[in-house]
Amino acid sequence: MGGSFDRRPGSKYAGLAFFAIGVACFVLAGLLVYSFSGKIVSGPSETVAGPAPTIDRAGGRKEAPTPATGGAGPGGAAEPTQGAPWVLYITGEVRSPGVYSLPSGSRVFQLVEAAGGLGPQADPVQVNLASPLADGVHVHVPSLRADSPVSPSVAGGSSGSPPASISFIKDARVNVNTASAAELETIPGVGPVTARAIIDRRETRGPFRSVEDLLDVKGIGPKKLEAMRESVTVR
Amino acid sequence: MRREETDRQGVPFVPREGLARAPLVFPLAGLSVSLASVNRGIPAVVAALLAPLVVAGLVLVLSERRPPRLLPYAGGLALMSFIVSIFCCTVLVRQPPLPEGTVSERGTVVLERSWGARRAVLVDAEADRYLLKLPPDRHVMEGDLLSFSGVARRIAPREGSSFREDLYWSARGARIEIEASSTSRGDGGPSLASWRTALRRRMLLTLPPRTRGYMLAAVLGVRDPDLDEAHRRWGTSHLLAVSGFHVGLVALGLWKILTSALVRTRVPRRVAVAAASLVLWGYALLAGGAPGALRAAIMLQLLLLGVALGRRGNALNSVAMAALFLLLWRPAWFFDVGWRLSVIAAMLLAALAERCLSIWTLPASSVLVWLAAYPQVAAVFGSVPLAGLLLNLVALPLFSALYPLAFFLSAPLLVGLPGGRLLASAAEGLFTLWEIAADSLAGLTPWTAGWNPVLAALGGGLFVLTVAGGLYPLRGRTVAGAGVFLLIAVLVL
Repeated sequence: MGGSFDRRPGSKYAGLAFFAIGVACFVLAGLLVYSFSGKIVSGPSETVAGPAPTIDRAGGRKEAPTPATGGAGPGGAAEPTQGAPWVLYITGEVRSPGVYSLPSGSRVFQLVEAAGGLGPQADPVQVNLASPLADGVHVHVPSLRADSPVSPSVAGGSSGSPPASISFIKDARVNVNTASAAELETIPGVGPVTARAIIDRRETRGPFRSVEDLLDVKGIGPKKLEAMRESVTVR
Repeated sequence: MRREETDRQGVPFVPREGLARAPLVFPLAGLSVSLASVNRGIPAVVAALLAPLVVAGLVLVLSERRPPRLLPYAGGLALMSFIVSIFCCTVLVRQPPLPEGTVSERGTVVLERSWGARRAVLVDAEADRYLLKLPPDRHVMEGDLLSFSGVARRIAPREGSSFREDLYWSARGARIEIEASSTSRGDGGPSLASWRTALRRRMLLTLPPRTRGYMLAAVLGVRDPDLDEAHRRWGTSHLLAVSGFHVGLVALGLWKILTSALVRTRVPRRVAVAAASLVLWGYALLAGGAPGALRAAIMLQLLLLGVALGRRGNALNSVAMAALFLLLWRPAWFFDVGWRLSVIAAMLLAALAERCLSIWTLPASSVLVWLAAYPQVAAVFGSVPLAGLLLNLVALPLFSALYPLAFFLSAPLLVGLPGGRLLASAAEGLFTLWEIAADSLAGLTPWTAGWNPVLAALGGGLFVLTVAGGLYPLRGRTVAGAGVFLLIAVLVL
């Protein structure tokens, strides 16, 4: 290719020939795209990944903030509707717990704001302030204090739909790192001998780091662990 | 009048332009066309063939005269672009092997974010990085050790939605989703993710609201919903997404400190470069490893290496190299709007810096960046606030001072020093003043620009033309070459 062109820097014809060959390259690329388009995936896709579609508050138009914005994810944000106000109950580490009336479509952070904001002992990481609410829900904001172990649960929600009720309730599971022998014996399949073995294990080798570590305890095998799993926790 | 110069062998001196100025811009253009094509269903091999054609086409239509060593340079770049493209296209279309039966694994949570009514969690397990979508009540935080079991499935695009969830998560390293039937959380021990969580908790608990929002965004890449909404209205959302602006601020501050230390203590230059690199990458990763932050970190790392080796790089070439590195790492970044905006803005500014960027041309460059970003932003968000045109002129210089100042004012409160609350209140006051000013300025231009193909074509055209102008002198040939490329790209893709 190079030998056929005039090597002088200012050659007009070389420049024109370059341009023509360059356009030919583009045209060839275009022909390839035209010929092979849609061979693998049916239908063109001009989509752009990254944003997560949500609903625009003002007009109900679909909008898609970038994931980096921390905006709600796809399919997610419940669209605020102009219905009757919701009655919501909030307890725990907020400045003014109680029952509040908020516009439908509100989220947890709005309820927390209505309740005067998070208290000094509130654990903001443990409560999803962006979570959508529903009429009649009870939100409990957990505390950072170690003596109030809470594990939130959602009543009436499924994994695919917004929870109908958000309620953070006291955890009924036994923390194997702090429980006494009597408390350990309340776990299904754990008698006095196994309870003693659990305590021995944590005293000799330090706290359990995960529920699976219970397999190190003499008398607890995979089957027993599965039976215990729902009743124990590690903190 | 131009002086005719020759080198020692008597070969006429030709100013560095095109291939010699920023060679990697060409393979980046080729790879971009290949990836866009493979997303249209073109087989990976054919899509990869487009890259060398685009490289050759661009070199030829833009070169008014025969560049020195054309064949080895252009041929080498075309070959390189083919190899890079076939690798990236193959990685992009390859289906990951799916584990059979129930997957029971344990791993560290490296990302946790809202995902509709659920929380999306990325877990680095032994075998792979998995995506889990959990109900919001499961208190899984970054840095936790998560044990889970469930059925694995490939992340697929959702029917009836333009959002490509598969590409979004692929860019973040996950291609398999676990429909978890059971999960249990444990302490994951010290890790970058757990440090992020601890810092986040500390900021949430101690800092006043506005300062908290800005510090969370700048340090950890976490956005406050209210602040996010306000910045979207003002057209300054990029200030909240950790990008080249933030990484550049950190690098500049650090460099100033190190160079003054160099003068005083005679610290070897290479030691200073190593220390600066460490802090640079530490910050980019602490801030969540967003594409803009990573792109900027790679660029600045190249700059630092240049300083260490006593060589000066080309900004346009550095942007292209950083973009290529990210695509080689995870080709799905190409479809991420964050990656696109970051690369577009950086390339545009780098191209302008090659020619005419100065304090006087800054307003024009702000308009150019707005126009160049418009097709992407309008396609994704539906509209672009015009307030950004005005506010960015004020916001960028203001935040380059405000962010470091707010960081130093809030640090005492974060570490629990006496008097910290007073200093943090000062930062809060400054941010409140900014809010008032921004609202007033945004009130002057309350309009938004919806999707408009003519404006999008203008934005795209100006981008291509500016980058071409950064590579070659802006003459009729450059305009014609850029125009042909843009025309064919629009017609074909």
